[in-house]
Amino acid sequence: MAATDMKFLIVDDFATMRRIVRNLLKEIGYANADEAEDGASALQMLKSGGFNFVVSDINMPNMNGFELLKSIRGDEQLKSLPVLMVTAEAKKDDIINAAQGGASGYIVKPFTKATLEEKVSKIIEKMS
Amino acid sequence: MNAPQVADAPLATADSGMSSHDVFVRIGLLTRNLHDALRELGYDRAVGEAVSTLPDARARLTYIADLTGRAAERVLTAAETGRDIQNDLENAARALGERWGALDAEALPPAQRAAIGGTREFLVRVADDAQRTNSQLTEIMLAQDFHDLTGQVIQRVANLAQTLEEQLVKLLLDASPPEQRAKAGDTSVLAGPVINAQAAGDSVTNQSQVDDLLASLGF
Repeated sequence: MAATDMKFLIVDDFATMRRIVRNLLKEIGYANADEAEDGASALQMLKSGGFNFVVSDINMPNMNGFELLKSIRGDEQLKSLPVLMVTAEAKKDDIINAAQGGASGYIVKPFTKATLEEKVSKIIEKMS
Repeated sequence: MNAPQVADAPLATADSGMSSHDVFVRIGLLTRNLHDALRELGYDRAVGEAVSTLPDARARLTYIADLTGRAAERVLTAAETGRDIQNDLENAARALGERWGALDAEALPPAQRAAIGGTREFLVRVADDAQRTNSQLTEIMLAQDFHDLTGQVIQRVANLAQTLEEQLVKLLLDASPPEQRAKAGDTSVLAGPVINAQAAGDSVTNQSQVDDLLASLGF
């Protein structure tokens, strides 16, 4: 499958941010994306299949980004799915937790289009 | 009011020989005196007024979050529409430029040749400018992330106001006469999350610091 055909799941409780990430992904060549407003609904969508990449916030109601990451890494079907954290959480402990929990990348908000493009490309390169 | 007597007494130290029970009794006395002083000075009314204004402050914060959220959505919709228009314009200009370029201009009179050259240049400029406008629209779109970031801060301040309100209500209840305390106790205290301030040294301030930290962990 060509990288541009990959299906992304954007997880963030703020609709504005979901929309921004979706638009940026489209601009850098990944037009196939869906959205979830928290970790719990994201996990449900992921389990139904078809997704190749997760871009997730951390601070969310119901199930936060760390819990979502843990659930993904603990699921036989989903464990190899790349998960890029895009979050306002700038504490070093959070970044270390994400890395140790198996995050594929970490971006702090506010971010630029170039940063998103660089991190997504790097993760896709590693996958292939 | 006997607060000065208590205040004049020396504080317990590790070598003073006071038991922890004595310390708790002293703290209890100090607290009782503080409550009495609050009531005598009429501060219970001031605290009551402060408590009554906090829900309004929270409502105002929510209003700001809602309004800025709606504004951000409107900007995003306009930017997305603008980007679609610019994309169409760029594609149409490039396609038309190619059609003009395919004409055999050499066989035409000089004036027409010059007109074709000018038209092709203009179409290239239209396509390039549409692309540049698109970049600016992307910047406008990206700048709307302020809603997410300020929204999170507003949420934390609203939670802080809620916690403060709870604590002030408790203080008010403790400082009230028993018969009024029972009445005031009917207004149940709202539960809310605890806010922990972040120490600056524990946080990163830009993406390169994130990358450095991850690199030090072998990522």
